[in-house]
Amino acid sequence: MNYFWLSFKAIFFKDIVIELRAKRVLPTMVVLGMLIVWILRISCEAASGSTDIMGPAALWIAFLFAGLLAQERSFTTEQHQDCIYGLLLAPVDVGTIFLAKLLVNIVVLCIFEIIIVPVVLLFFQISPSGRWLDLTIVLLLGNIGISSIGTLFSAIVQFSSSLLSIIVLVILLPMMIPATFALLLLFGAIPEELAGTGALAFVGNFKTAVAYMVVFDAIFAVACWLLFGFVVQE
Amino acid sequence: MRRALFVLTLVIILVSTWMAFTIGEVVPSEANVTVEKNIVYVHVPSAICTALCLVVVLVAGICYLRTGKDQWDRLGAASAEAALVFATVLNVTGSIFARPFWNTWWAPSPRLISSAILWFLCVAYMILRTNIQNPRHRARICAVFGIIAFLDVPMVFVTARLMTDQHIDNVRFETAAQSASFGLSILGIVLLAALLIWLKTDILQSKAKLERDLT
Amino acid sequence: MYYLCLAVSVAWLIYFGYLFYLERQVKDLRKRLDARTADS
Repeated sequence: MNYFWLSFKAIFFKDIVIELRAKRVLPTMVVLGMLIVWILRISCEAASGSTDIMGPAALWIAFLFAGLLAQERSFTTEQHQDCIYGLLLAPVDVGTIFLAKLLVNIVVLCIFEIIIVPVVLLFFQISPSGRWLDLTIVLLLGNIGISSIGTLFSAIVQFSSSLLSIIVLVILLPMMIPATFALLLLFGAIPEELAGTGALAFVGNFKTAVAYMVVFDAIFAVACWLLFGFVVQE
Repeated sequence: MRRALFVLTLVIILVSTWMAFTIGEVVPSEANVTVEKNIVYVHVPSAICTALCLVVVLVAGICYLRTGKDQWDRLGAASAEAALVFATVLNVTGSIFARPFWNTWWAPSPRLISSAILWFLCVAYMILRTNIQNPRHRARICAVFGIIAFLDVPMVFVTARLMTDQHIDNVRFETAAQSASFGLSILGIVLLAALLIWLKTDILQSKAKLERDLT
Repeated sequence: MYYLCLAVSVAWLIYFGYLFYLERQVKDLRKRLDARTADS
């Protein structure tokens, strides 16, 4: 057990320190997020849509696309001089590598959200009306879901030399949608009484949505952890 | 043998369609539902077959990861392609079905979004399939992706129960004729699925033999 | 009625179109296999 923690901490701190020092992907993510939010704000005016409805949608879209960038980072940093093979040859359990990279992705996404959520709240003049804890829980659950699938899929793309890295977008997006939709309910854009009628009828009840996300995260985190070994073996 | 299966499938599908149009016409369970409800004879079997094909992909993926034998990989690829066909029919008939009821071609309700996700997952499998060149690596990656994609299927079928949804309630079958035609249409489409998977597996096997002989 | 017929015909189009596509692949493979055995 001690060995697991040692190797886990080593890989985790290696990636986090590299990311925070070299800042390979965080600034790009933040800029991409802000660009998406800004463009959606403009199109919100042009389409005369209400900022109440488009605000959570803008956060959701920015979160999805910048989240993709974060996932790609997990293995592209190891490309230089084939570091990934060094990592795999080390006497570390493959599952530990997956868990460490998963946690790194979650942390990077959290940092991204801390920056981008106030931006969205300001641009769209919305507020979660006191439900900050709910917002944090939903964002965290979304992070875990996206990161677990994203780490696995970015490993798939990295280890298949003939795949374009843009393909990770196509593979990952369908899975990310169920992982994060509870975000739309949060800002009272769809009050819980009205949810279930009309177009944005996706989540009827906040508790149900959170329960769904918890189950989703549990299933996919375990499945991706188990399957990671098969993706990286020669 | 395959010819026999093909003829059988064709006959059953024709008979079930005839029955659906005549004796098996569904009695509306909601006030505004009309004869369009009979689309359930085409829509539901394709949903069942998509799930069935994805189960086959799951089993083939697990067996391939366990044993490494190529036939499991071929079975998985064939079933994924069949699942794509059935998912296409599911979404298209669902969309056509939506028009008379909700006056729109698509609406973001849980079941519709989940079935669209299913379609995109099948497409993603085919993209992975065509883009990875190394056969063993391709087989392993597709097996992994197939297992992940299958995990979405229960989500599809469970979201609609957990969450309030616009989707039509389950149809009640009043007479034995209706249940019979429904069962028959399911049988026909399942046989069609088996036929498609069998045909595609043979194609892949012959292709593999040709390529092996070439090298 | 119109939508029902549309849906049924589209479904059949997709199913039998795919079957037809598979049959064409079989024919093509058979041609290649025969050409190979004819050569060797």
